[in-house]
Amino acid sequence: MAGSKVKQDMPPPGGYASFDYKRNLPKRGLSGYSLFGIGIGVMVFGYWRLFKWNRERRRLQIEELEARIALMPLLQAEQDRRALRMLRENLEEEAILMKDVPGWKVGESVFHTDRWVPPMTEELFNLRPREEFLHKRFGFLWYV
Amino acid sequence: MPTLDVPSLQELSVDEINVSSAVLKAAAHHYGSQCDKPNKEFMLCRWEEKDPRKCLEEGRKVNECALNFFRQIKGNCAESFTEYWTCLDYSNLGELRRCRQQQQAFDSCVLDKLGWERPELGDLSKVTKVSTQRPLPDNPYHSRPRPEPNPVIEGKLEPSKYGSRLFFWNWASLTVAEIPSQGVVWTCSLHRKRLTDPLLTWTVGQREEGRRDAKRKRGVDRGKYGGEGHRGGGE
Repeated sequence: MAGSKVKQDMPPPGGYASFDYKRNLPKRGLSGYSLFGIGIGVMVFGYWRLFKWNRERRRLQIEELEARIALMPLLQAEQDRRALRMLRENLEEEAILMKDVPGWKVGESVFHTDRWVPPMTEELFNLRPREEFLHKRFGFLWYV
Repeated sequence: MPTLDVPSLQELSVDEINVSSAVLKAAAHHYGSQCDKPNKEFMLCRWEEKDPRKCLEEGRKVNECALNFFRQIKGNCAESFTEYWTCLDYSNLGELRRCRQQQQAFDSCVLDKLGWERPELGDLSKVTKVSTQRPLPDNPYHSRPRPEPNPVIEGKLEPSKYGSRLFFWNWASLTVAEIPSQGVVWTCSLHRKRLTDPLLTWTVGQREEGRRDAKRKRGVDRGKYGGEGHRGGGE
């Protein structure tokens, strides 16, 4: 009945305040083009840094190689002397070991030519302990 | 077989430099610019003669120069040099870029006391001319005397009249078989045919009429050369 006063849950006087219910998807942030631009810019900057650093690395590598170039005569001379010394010692050992073998020419070369043939590692380290030969052959090898 | 000539131990005895690799690397650039002359002479000798036994004297001069160089450094700039090479030794690969400070100190010390300048980047890799008294060796490879070149053909040379007879030879291989009843038989692998004369030249596209009729009679397509051709060339 219309007249009876029943306690009901009613809206506040004046009604509810208005609130926005419509969808709110604002256009914000940078546009697509500018995002591309930023990405490409960052990449270009990265490339430029990389090329600069590569040039610097090349200069450093040239410096290291020049150090090697400067030292090469010394190292080559030392290596030559060492090889010749080992050959000499081997020759003298051979003379001692093979003096009773008939028809053996000490120091006979295995080639028909008389030019300098660089000696093999096996030839140089023949009369030495095997670990010296292995060190010479594989000592500085980093890979397998 | 010739005997190998090896110099005696006395000839090979030279004052060696008892110094480790970090020391050498630290002093490398200055060494390259100071001891340039004997180094280059030794390398020239080594590369021209291709024989280390002939370059022992130059090697001795290289060692002398190096010893003098290190004595000078030791006399004048020992502390900064020691710091420099210890820093190089400490780094993993002995990279020169890890020790720039010590390098600066060493360079300035050497410049003040001895007047040596560190060579610019790329100076040590430049190609130089070396002047020596040693004559250029002839025949460093000890090669045997080469044969005389062929004499020049005199007279007018003209192309042959019928072209080359060997023109079709790279198209097919010829096989020879000895069949007892038929004698020597030449077979051509390309046309799967027996040849009556190996020097007959074939033109592409020639076929016998008989073979084509045989294919049509049977009504089966046996391929380009027909059924008979697969039997190895016998007819």
